[in-house]
Amino acid sequence: MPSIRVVNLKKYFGKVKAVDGISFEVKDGEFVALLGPSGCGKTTTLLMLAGIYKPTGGEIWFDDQLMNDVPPKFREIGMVFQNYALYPHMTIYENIAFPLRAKKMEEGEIKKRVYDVAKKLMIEKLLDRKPGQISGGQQQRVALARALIKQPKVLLFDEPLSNLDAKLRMMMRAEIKKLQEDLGITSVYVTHDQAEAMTMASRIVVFNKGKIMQYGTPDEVYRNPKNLFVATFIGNPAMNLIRNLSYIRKDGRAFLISKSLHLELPEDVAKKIEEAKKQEGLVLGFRPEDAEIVHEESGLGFWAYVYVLEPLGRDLIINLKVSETDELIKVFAESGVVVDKDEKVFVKLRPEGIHVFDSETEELIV
Amino acid sequence: MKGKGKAWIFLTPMVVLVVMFFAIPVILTIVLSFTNMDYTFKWNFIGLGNFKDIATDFVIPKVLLNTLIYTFTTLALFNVGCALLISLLTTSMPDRWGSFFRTLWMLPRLTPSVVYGILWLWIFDPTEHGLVNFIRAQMGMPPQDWLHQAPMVIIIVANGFIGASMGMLIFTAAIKAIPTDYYRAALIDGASWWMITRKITLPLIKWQLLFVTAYQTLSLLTSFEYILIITNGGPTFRTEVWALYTYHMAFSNYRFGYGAALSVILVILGTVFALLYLKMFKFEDLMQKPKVEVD
Repeated sequence: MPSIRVVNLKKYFGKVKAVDGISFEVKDGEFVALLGPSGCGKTTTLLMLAGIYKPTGGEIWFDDQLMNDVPPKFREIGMVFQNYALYPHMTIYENIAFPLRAKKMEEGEIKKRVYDVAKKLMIEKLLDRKPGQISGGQQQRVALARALIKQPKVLLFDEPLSNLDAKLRMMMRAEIKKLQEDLGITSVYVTHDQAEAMTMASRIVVFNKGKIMQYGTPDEVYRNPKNLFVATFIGNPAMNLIRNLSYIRKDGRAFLISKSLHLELPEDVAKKIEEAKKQEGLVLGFRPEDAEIVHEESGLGFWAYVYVLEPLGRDLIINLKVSETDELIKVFAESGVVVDKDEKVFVKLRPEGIHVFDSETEELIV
Repeated sequence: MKGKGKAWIFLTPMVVLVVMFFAIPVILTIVLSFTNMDYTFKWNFIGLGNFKDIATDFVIPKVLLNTLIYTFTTLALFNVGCALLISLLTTSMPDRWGSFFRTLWMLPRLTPSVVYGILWLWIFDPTEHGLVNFIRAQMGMPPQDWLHQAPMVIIIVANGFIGASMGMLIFTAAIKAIPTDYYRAALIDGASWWMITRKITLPLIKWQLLFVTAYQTLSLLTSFEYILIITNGGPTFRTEVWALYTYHMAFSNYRFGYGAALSVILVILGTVFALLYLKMFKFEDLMQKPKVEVD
């Protein structure tokens, strides 16, 4: 299976810069997700990999072959579309056999391969039906079968699960991941659902406005977001942000302060802020699980009052506010924790969970 | 006022119009076909006399043959054939060029029909003032009387050039409504343009093909204005089609009863073709089958 290398890739539609100079690499047999909000350029990138769109600039390499001008049919790719793109007038059999017929394969071989792949995807009973007569989940499997039957070297997925209901989506998520691992086909998976990207991919390319915000493993983009966009886009609930903070040093101790907040910083964090030479317009970020609610001041943290509680069964999300005008802060707590509405509590932060961003550049400082 | 009364108030103007301009003329035509009304406008009922005359009219076999040749050649070559070809080609090229070519094909529609007919008369004028003969003269060839030599070809081409645009519009709209992902999937799977056209595009615009074929058959069966202007059915019945013959009988020879009988037969002919199409295109199969969920 080939590795994919994208170098400074661009796609402009008139004045709209859909993809604006992106570079990333997908290793041989790797499963990479392109993640971002709608209109961020991820599908455009996928269609350039497929050869449907011609890049405005940059290069696409499969191993050491430049693919920019190679037509789709010579790229040895299989693709699964968001709405499956099954031909409504053909039976499931004919739909799956279509790529082989395009190759003018012999009828006996086509039949054997269709039955093989249908069996693998557990759709062999549906072969004589039409797409309109089967359910969404089954259509999804047929689309997968059609992509796999050519024995492609690269698999491209364009939001394949977004038309399924939540339960089926979770199931297919695991199935696609297992299938990809078994077959070892280099795969690129476009999604706007961060849970899908986190659970399925070995690495994630986070997109926004045609540019790559961060490229890394799910753990890296979650634990060490490089900028405010990744911090808020990845994670559910998103990372908590407290904006408009200033950095000061008093009596040798370092603080982040605003009108309503006073947070003492660990020395290593303070040093990095000083190195960045930023005093104003700082943003504090921490994940909901990197904080703990306690009733008296202890260690690193700040005071806030309880705004509303969201029980989730196993966990509890405590929504807090530092002051009336501040943004909501969400903190995970075990469901046994007892707090009252409007109670003043201390939000104790884990030192390694603290992130500080520059609100101007939106980049991470610490 | 109660719902039903109100409904009738809104319906009445349209009902009156439909009855006056549609129902009454149809009934009158049928009744008229059983009379031998002429320029004296007397209702003399003669039973099936007109229909017996039609059966023995020595011009009728020629007219029928002309009608079939004219209708189905124009239909196959232009109104469906050429329309489909233009749609397929113009939707396969960049949209800017596609629109340009389609606009070109729309131009005859925007020309008044008499002007359009006279243009063709000018193109095939037997003297060197005609376009074709002018070009021939530049190459040192003698002028030809085209309207005498190939009148049927000329009326088919003249009708076809204008008739193709309707099918073209409908097919183009239908092709553009096919989800792009079908084509993307087919391209990735390595299907050729021909395979995509045959296996995806054509089956998915079957409804529109049926509609245009049926609709244009009926409109070609009854249309005669360009033939009237270009050849007036001549020379000697060589381009006389059923609708034009009806017109000539009724309005040149003032045999209104006979003309009415001819048009009743034309309606029956049209109905037969429409029913044949429904069978041929397997109309029922185009309906969505109920969704069945097993396991």
